Amino acid sequence: MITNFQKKVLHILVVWGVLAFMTPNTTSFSFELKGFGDVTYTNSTEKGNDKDSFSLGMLDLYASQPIDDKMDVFVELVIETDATGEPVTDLERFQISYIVNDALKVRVGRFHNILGYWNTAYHHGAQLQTSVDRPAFLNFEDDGGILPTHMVGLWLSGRLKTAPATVLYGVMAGNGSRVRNGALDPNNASDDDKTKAASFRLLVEPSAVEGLGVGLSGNLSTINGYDSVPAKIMEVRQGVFSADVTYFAGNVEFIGEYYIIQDKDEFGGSNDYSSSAYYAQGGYLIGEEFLPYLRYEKTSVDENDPYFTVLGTKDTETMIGGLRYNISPASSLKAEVRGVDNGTDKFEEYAIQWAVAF
Amino acid sequence: MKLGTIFGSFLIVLCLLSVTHAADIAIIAGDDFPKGSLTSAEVKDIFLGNMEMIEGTKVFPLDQKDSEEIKKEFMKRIIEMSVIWYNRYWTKRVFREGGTPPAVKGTQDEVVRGVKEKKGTVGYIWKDEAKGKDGIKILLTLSGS
Repeated sequence: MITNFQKKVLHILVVWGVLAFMTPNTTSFSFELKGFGDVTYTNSTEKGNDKDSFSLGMLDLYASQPIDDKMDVFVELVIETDATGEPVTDLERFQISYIVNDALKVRVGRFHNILGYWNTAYHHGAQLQTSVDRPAFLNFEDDGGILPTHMVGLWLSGRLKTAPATVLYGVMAGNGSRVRNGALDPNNASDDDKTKAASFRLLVEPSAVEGLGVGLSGNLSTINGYDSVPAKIMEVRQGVFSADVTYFAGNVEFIGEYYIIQDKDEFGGSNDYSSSAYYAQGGYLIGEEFLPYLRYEKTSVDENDPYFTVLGTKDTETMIGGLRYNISPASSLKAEVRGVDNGTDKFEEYAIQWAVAF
Repeated sequence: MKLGTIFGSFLIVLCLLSVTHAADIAIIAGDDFPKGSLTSAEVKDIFLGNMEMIEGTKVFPLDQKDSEEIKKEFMKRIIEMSVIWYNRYWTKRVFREGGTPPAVKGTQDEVVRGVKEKKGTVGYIWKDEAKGKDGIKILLTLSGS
């Protein structure tokens, strides 16, 4: 269901869109509304879910507008369909930025958590990422995700260029997530407790190897879980730590990320739990059009961890082989085959996606 | 017309075209720009959005239309990307971080006016076009040879 608030946001964006078309770009009040969209066909052999279907991906609308020389605003609104087919509108990102200098930019609002490479580099536009989908353990909170991919709060970031390397850093503080009805919720409206979440990211791009990036990230938070009453059923102090290596040079692309998720039970006991998730994806661009790629991803969770119990997370191992065809710089066709092993079933999935940027 | 005259004219046109391709590009800014010169690495960073401030002044890259020959040459000599990949880069960057891509001007004269009008604006034009222009300074010359 679209809430009244979301209807209002959508209404505002529609008005913005009309104004964007009507207003010449030469005035200081004009802006450009851009977007991404995709349609995906999937077929699965999973027991109990062996069906094929077309699905609308996300219609992603975004705009970035300078307010003055040092300040700008970015807004991203996603319209997608939920499991029942109803349209759902999410204000995915809204950020006000102020640049002090290249080493310090201050933002407030709702952002993607600066956790790892994928969540920082790829957002909701499927056209930008090589594959059809994100690694499963990096799915967004409202799509079965197990990590806090969004945060509402404050974000400091900067870039320091030195002779041996360029160093990019980020620090975030904001509302921690909660688990509600078996799904992560980033606490957009207000925090459900007094503790705040904090994230950091450090990315080093050595000058000696063009295209190489090595990153470290972390997120510390307290996460409460609630049932449908809502009554509190879980509380963990969580630390998520990740390391990533990326290489984009010439026709080669490689991304690898490893995550450790440490939970300390603060509700039913004082046990510590440790789980991990990782993926590696590589691709090779042939000409400007064809990009075959492979990805292996694995999630291993401690079955006694109350956090993963309330989320219903299972150990999963997935191997993906795909081919991306760039129809144009703004459009691509992707075809994927996935072999999935979730501990109770081994099955295949097939997906074809047409993604566009406009 | 004699065959030799046609062939000669053809050679002259070819030479002129090759002169255009090899012409020097001037990186320009207004007189009030905080620095007197830039390195090619700094110009690249400015047009990739990685250098947004210079000595306390916000920097605004000023681009030219994709169809212009000078843009293709600028991409080749400084950015080291094709025009298509450069546009794709900015789509990704704006979507990831916010901000705005370089403004685009239609003519060399508009670029000159642009850098004079707003402090911190950096543009590029053929070096020959910069001669005799008041209110601008050349921060870097990209040789065509």
